[in-house]
Amino acid sequence: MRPEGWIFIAISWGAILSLFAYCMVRTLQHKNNKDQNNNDK
Amino acid sequence: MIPYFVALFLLGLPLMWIEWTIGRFGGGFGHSTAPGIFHTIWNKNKFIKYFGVIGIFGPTVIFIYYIYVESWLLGYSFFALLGKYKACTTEEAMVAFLQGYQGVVKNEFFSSIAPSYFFFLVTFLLNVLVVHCGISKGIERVCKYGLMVLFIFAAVLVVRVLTLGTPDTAKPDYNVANGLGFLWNPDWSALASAKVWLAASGQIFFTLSCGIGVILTYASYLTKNDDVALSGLTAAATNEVAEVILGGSIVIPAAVAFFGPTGIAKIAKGGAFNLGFVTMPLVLQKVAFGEILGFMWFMLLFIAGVTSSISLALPAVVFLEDEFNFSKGKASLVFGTVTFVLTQPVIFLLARGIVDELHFWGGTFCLVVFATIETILFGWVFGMEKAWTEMHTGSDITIPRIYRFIIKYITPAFLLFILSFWFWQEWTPVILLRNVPAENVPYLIGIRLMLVGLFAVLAFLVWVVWRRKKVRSL
Repeated sequence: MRPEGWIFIAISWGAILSLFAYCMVRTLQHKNNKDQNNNDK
Repeated sequence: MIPYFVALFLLGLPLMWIEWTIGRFGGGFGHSTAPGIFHTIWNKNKFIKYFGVIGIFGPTVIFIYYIYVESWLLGYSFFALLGKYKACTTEEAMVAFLQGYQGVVKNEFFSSIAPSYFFFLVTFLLNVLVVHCGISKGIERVCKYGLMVLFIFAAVLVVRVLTLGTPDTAKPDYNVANGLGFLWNPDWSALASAKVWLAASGQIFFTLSCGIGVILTYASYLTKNDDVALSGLTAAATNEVAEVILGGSIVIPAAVAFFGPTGIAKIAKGGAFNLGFVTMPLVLQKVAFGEILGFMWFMLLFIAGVTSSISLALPAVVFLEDEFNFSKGKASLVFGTVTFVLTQPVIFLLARGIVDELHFWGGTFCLVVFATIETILFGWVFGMEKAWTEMHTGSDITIPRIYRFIIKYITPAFLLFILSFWFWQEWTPVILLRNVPAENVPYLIGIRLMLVGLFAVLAFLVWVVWRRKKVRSL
């Protein structure tokens, strides 16, 4: 693998994992808020 | 990989949001498939519903060959457990095993296509049964646990593959680092090929299930205030982790480590789906508890495959339910009967390149055409102002404003550019079948006639539905 290949893989994996983590956090936050609202009712 | 990522950000993500949004919008008017949804968006145009036929035709065509490939996974899971391919320790032996199983040749491993056909029947019946059970009882239950286990198992395999190093010290170039390089080293010269861009776009559409018509159907079941923005983004991000990080670190790097870059090109030429069935059994034989792990790997992939194939069946089944008032059972039976007949040439004429032909038209070309139509409909006919408001109704996130511009201008321009470029570079040889062996030409023409016939029948059904509606409204 050439150096530009390593750079490309590092950037791509970093971007994908960050996006995935962001989505999971937002989705779980939304789920918790929804559960909380249901309990309050 | 460069065209792949460009396609992800400029096509994949916008299309996820477009399809989730127009699916939910159309569902509000009682339509769950593309003909009705397109008609809802542009009801002044009486032809737009026929463009929506692609949203039923495309997934049905993919289903026709996908279901057979899926059945190989079931077969291989049992072969792994029984140690049937244990004697195959080389690439040549594994290719022979696969070809014997596919019925392409008769050899010491298989004397007929019967085992393959048996696993196809089991897979087909299972699919029809799950479709018959519906979304929450069937599809959701399968996905909930199966995919979680597949993720964990894939992560374990990634670690194993990345620590393979150089399996054969006599061939120092055959190593995992070069396998990663095969995928990740930028090849700037390939950027000038329309076929590469079309394939990258097709891959994005295929794995995100956009441009197919399936997301429209799923999203049509959402209520007006259900989120679509975060859901679309999460689905895309999760797919990228599975496809790029997990999938991209298993099959190709392992294949290069064992067969070298020229070897994998040779295996891939034998058929678009052959690589995983040649590489993975060999990789799994080189780890402890290979039989159990092999069984788990293929069985879990089979479960993942089932979740995809039942989604592919959904638009046609839901179309029959919604527009013809068929019961779930009757719609599943009609769909099952038609696709069972259409799958037979795929099974018995596999060596003639039928799967690759269907994959090109159903899994690549139709996707790009359908995506182009729905993007133009969304950004230009529905109108960007209304579209943006609709996307953010009930939304848990705010989509970056740059996507207003991307969805309206870049995505349709990108799609039109790819299509035009492809027509210019590839149209003649593809249509005239110039790059296929002469003995396969009659079979491929037959398959094309079958596809034209299927499209014509679906278009006729749409015509019948709207004619009935017109008569009723008079």
